[in-house]
Amino acid sequence: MLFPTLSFGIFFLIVYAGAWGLKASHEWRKIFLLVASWFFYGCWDARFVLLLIASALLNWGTARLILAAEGRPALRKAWLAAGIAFNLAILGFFKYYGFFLVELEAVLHQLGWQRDLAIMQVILPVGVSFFTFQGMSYVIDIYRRQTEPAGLLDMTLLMSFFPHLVAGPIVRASHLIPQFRRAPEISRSMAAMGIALIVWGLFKKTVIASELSTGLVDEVFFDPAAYGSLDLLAAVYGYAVQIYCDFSAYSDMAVGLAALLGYRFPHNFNQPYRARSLQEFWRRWHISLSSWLRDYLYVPLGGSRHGLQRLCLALAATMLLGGLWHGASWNFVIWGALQAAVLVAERLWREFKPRGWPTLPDGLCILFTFHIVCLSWIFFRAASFADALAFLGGLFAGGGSNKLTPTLLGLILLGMSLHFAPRFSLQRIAMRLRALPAPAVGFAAGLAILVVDSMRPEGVAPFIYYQF
Amino acid sequence: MHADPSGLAHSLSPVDLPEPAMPLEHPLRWTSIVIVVATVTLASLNAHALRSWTYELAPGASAARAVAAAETWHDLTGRFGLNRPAETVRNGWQGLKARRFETQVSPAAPSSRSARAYSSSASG
Repeated sequence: MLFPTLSFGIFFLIVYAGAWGLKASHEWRKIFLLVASWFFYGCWDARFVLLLIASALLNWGTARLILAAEGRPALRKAWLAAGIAFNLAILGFFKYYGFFLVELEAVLHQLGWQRDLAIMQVILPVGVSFFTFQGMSYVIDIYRRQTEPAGLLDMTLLMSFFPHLVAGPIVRASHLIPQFRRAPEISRSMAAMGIALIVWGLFKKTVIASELSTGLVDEVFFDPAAYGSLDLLAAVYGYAVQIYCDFSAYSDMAVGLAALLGYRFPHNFNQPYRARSLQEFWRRWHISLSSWLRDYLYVPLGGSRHGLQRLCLALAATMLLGGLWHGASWNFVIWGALQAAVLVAERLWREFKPRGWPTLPDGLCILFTFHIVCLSWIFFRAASFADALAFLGGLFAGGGSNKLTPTLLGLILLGMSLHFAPRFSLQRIAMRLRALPAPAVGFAAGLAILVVDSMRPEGVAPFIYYQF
Repeated sequence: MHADPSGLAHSLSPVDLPEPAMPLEHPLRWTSIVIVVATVTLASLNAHALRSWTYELAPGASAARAVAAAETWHDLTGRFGLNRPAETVRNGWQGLKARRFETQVSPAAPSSRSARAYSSSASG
């Protein structure tokens, strides 16, 4: 069940009515939201609801064991290690089992071992990376005494709550559990902003991202040899806009839907393509994942506390593992390695830049960073390493454009201009909306959705980040 | 750095807006009316989407009833001209999408690899 569908619209109307109808009974409200979330997840594959429940139970149980071992540091650490190992085992099995065996088989063949390994087809549960990271952060936060312990119901709802379940933002226990403990409240500001985010997210996903995907990016990336350099360049820029509009649209809608139910989710995007360095880019792109990687990977690996060499190693390891988080593919490893190399180079440049050398103007820094990101998107989007190389080769082979239309060009420019628009524009619109009479806002929202729905291509492609 | 008198830059969530001096009353009632009016507006002006959705339901007696009801609703709203705004936007957008640059001869024909993939996905 995808957000921009009528089925989801009907589902959400029922959930909204049920959740606020149960406002008087806080616990029953959470149980209702939990069951609704399981139903939502079960629409993909009912079997994986059991995985979700098992994951929540085991993370909750591990946290209880860590708490029970208070005063015995070795035992606390052992339970923490068990909790992390359990979460990594889930990720490892569903995301990397097939990849690992295929690679192992290739190595064995090279060594003269000609027997085939029994490779099992493992179906990837939607959003497994998101809910596993969420569970893992809870266990680690309990170990670090950075969050209050959650009850079983709250913990299960934290991991299953449908707005963020399949593609984030990664909402930590310290952010959401206190909200689950209080009686939910909604203000007109929250509601106006929630509605604005939902409508804006629908536009970004179903018009900008879908049009660019179906009209340009998918075909060009599928067969780069059939297109000229200009088409390839347009497809790279198109994909940069598509992935931003697709992913940020999901986050916007998730935040908006949660707000209509009385919950606040954190920021996940902040005009990333206006970043002046790759380091800044990661403070603006998928903020909930980058801060997760910073707090649970980069800092434990040493961060900036043990000298430059250790810092560079921590950065490289974090980005390589961040790449692998997206999936088991060499292209994601290369994507992570590219990010790591540039982040390390930026750090070294800051450290050893000769005195007196001028600083580049902001515009040039933004342009350079954006193109580094675009280069890495080629590896991220291409089906294989060979396809990515063919794409890169094609970029310099010459040839015009027969694929890019004025509308597609307009959508690329619109998607780019979003990064340079005044910040908080949507918030300012919401501040005006909240003061208007409800029927007027409802009618305007209905008309806006009507316009978006009339422009969208037939059918809805899943969000890009569902596969992660 | 621009000044941020609203405090938006320090918000933890995009939905944290500075509250007005005079509290806005009945937020739940306000939100519910917004949602109901938006739903009614869409049901009245976008009967086409409702009809398409019923055709995608799993075949069965209830789906057939839903299709019949959606068809009736689509005809009824059409009689009052309520389907026209969506059709106008759709046609205008399709016209815009069909435009090409002067140097372009025609929409690109898919290559053999693309054609194979698209024909197989269409048949699937």
